[in-house]
Amino acid sequence: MAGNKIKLQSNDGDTFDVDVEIAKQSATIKTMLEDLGMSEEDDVIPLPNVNSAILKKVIQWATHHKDDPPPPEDDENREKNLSDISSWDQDFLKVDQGTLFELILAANYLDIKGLLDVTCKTVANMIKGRTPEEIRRQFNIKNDFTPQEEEQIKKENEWCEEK
Amino acid sequence: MGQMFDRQVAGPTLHTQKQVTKISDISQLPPELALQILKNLNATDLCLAACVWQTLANDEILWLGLCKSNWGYASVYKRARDEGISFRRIYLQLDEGTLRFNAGQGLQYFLENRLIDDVCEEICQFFHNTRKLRSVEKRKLLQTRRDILERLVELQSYENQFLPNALRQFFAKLDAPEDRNEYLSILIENFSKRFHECNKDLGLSTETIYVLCFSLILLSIDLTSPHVKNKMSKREFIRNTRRAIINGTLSDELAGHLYDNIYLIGHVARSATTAN
Repeated sequence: MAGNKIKLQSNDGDTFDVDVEIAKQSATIKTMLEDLGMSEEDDVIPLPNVNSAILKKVIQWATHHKDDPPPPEDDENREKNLSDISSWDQDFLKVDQGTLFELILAANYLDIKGLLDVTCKTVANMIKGRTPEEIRRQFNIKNDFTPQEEEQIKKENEWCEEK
Repeated sequence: MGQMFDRQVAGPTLHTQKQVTKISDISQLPPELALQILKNLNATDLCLAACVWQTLANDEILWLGLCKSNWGYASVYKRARDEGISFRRIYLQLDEGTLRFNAGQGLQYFLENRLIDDVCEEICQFFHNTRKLRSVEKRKLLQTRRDILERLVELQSYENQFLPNALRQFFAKLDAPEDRNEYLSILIENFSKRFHECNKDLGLSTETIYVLCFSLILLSIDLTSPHVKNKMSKREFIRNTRRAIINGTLSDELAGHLYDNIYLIGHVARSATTAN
């Protein structure tokens, strides 16, 4: 089994040779291989929702994290910790926002929990501690509320301001 | 799909990103992914985010998660759906109630707003599943409500724990009184009963555990207090403790381990108010 490779094909036609064990961090690919018996060397797995640039990033991430222990189950009673992103991941995710969102979509489609977690946390960090105006600027959101509406919304959510 | 992405995404291509980027805002993501992101925020940040993404940031699932991560149990949770109470409101009320409780106003706010039912079991479950309440205030309440104290001790688990460590955990949860008083005796009584139930195979009776607890507290004070000049030696501790146990025996070995634990780890009842 060791050293086995599979081919992953992005939606723009590029194929990538990837170690089976690395590719299996994606629960989607793992299911394809195990349930559908796609184990032949020359089988190509098409990934119609992922383009080459993103797929390359995902493979890079999965390669670095190939020996990680499986992520813990989600527990709603657990306190969230936004600062526990490894420095490798932080560097890896220093990309423009569009790419970051594409990575979230890809991690979700490929079902890679660790990557989804860390990308979501990275976006959450862009929201944390910011005022609504700063958030809008960060995400390039047009404020289409009238001043009256704006006032109303602020009022509804104002508890946070006094804390 | 099929659009070209710049391969050097992190490089000096920031000026071109607008043309290639499709999604720039979390509201353009599928809602379950947007929620996945917002799940990482605390209540204050979520309120601010609600000014930008009204519907998303007010989603019940986010507020339910925040409620449960701060207060694992509250009576109101199971009523919320039937009575149409939003978890955002519940969060704000639990927060307010917690502030008031910690400021010395007791459970009144929680009870008046029906966040907790005024029943011993419900109050215990609430206490047991949150770390937000100040232990000094909890102690004030428990001193007057023995029924809650007893039930709360029953909820603790000490299986296979070494006595001094279990006692430390007990006092961390329930806060030790400043002085040696009747309340301390009641605490130890309840603890001894529970520890005995959890560790029946140790062969220590509830009475023996009770005596050992006081021995451990005395030793803790002796070893840590700067006012005590001549510290109790291990041999003295073993002798004193064995003498204090009337109905039962204590091996030198176990007594020695008890001494070592206090000597190495420290006081068993470092109260929040008497720390240092």
